[in-house]
Amino acid sequence: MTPGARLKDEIYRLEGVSFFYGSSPAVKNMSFRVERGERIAIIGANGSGKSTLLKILDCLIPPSAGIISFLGERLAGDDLKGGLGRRFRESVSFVFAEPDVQLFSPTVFDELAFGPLQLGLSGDEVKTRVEELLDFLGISGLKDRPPYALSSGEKKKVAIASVLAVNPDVLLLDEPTNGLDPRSQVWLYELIEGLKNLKTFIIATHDLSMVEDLAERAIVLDEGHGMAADGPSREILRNKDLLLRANIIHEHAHRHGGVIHIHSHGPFSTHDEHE
Amino acid sequence: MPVWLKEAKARRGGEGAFKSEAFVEKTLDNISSFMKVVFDGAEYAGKNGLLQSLEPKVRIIGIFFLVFAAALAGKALSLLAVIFFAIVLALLSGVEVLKLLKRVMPALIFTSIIISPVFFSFVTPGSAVLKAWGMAVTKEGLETGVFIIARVGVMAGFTALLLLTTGQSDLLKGMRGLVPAVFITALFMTFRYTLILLRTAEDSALARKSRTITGTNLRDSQGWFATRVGFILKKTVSTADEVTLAMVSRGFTGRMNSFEGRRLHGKDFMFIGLTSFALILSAGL
Ligand SMILES: Nc1ncnc2c1ncn2[C@@H]1O[C@H](COP(=O)(O)OP(=O)(O)O)[C@@H](O)[C@H]1O
Ligand SMILES: [Mg+2]
Repeated sequence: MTPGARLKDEIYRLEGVSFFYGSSPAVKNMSFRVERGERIAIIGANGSGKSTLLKILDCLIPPSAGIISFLGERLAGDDLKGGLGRRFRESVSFVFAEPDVQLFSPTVFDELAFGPLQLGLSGDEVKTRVEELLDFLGISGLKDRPPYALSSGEKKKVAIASVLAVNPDVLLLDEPTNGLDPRSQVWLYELIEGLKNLKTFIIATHDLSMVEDLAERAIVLDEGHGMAADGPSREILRNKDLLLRANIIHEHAHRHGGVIHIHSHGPFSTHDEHE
Repeated sequence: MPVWLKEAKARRGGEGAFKSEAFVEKTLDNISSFMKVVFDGAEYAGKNGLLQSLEPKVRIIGIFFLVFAAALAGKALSLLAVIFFAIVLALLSGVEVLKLLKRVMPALIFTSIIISPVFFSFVTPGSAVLKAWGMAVTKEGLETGVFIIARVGVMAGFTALLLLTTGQSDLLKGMRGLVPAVFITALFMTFRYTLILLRTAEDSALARKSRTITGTNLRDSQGWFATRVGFILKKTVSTADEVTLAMVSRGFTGRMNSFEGRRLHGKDFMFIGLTSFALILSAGL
């Protein structure tokens, strides 16, 4: 395949994308493609550039260098005001790591209605849609509550619901399991599993169990803000050296029945390595 | 592991061990409770009442007329009539008069202090009713002063009624078409940023409190607060940036769309009719 050719179901194409905050790099020379329906985990240590990459993918910050295109159209940051803007915002949604950043409406209902209203749906359409979504996600009980007064797990659910309300094709999730209790975590897993093949997921995380369960493909960012690997997540999760180098897992002393041996552990290691 | 890390701390005793730190906490508490009243004080919005049943725009315009009627009321009788109107309106909207008084109290106290010279003979000459330390309170001064205070009280009362019965989204919705969209957006963003600022300040104070072992004195607290202001502002700006990005991500392009207002009913027209009548009356009398 030639580098310029577009795949039939290509959503994103990045070519040499970099981003600098002032003079310090946050994302360096990344190139990859995303196809419709893929579930991709972006894994990397804190500060490796995951959130910045997601913001570039959501066209919130324009790359300092390189090219990003969406459905074959080049995104250039400023021209998002017009037709592409609306179409893009309808198609791509971003769930921020910190739900407080995202939630601002007086009630959960208004929160879910915000997106569809901005995109110009009629009042009645929006109302029906919001009711159905609340019901589907099992959070109808929160409908009239103010988002700031919810627990962090509930906030996260509302944040996710608020972007699903615009029925996007692509969901960018930044550390979605952070601050979730086990039951909410299951809720999220089931939701992502239920939307498999219907939506494209790009998930920034360092929760390796999530990578294993929910993403077929993984992109590893190293601590120098570059791409260390891109491939099937099963293979990447087995590549201990790679994960160690990217500071995603670490060597750790463990004691098993009086025998001390060194092996690696991620924050949510699934204990595969206990051989 | 160092030994000291294993020692338990939660023991009884020690003077002031669990005393709270008054200054910073109180200040923040005051600020945030004030902001909550302004931005988020619509405790009666969900009730079934007269004001709540009116279309938001009608509610805002009507209240606006009434505030003006109070401002223009030149005679005791017309002012009394407006006060009566306010009380009836509160009762019909399920707002207790006591609650309303509580909201109005700060404005009353503030006005009383500001205008206090009016009571005395050196500003308002007339027949003295009370003499103390060589100054005299005059009858005319009392009349003028009480009149001004009552007037401000009613104006504040109407505003409080509006805020108590109208949620943020209805307020913004109601203002659409009355003021340019850009002001509404600006107002809304101001709400948001102020709340972020407050939350950052609160978190920052809490974080300090949790690290404070002995009680600190007022001067320390104030000094800490001064040095933290820089940090808090910086943090607020970066959070505010994220907030803006999050809104853009959800399709916000600089003007807010909200549910369209509902069609106007007979009740709405009656309210506008009555309130504009009150305005004309008090302007004429
Ligand atoms: N608003 C910002 N201003 C300046 N530097 C930033 C900003 N946001 C992130 N950075 C820096 O960019 C790098 C990548 O950050 P980020 O994308 O948030 O990483 P991750 O999400 O993987 O933790 C880090 O070194 C971080 O300090
Ligand atoms: Mg991040």
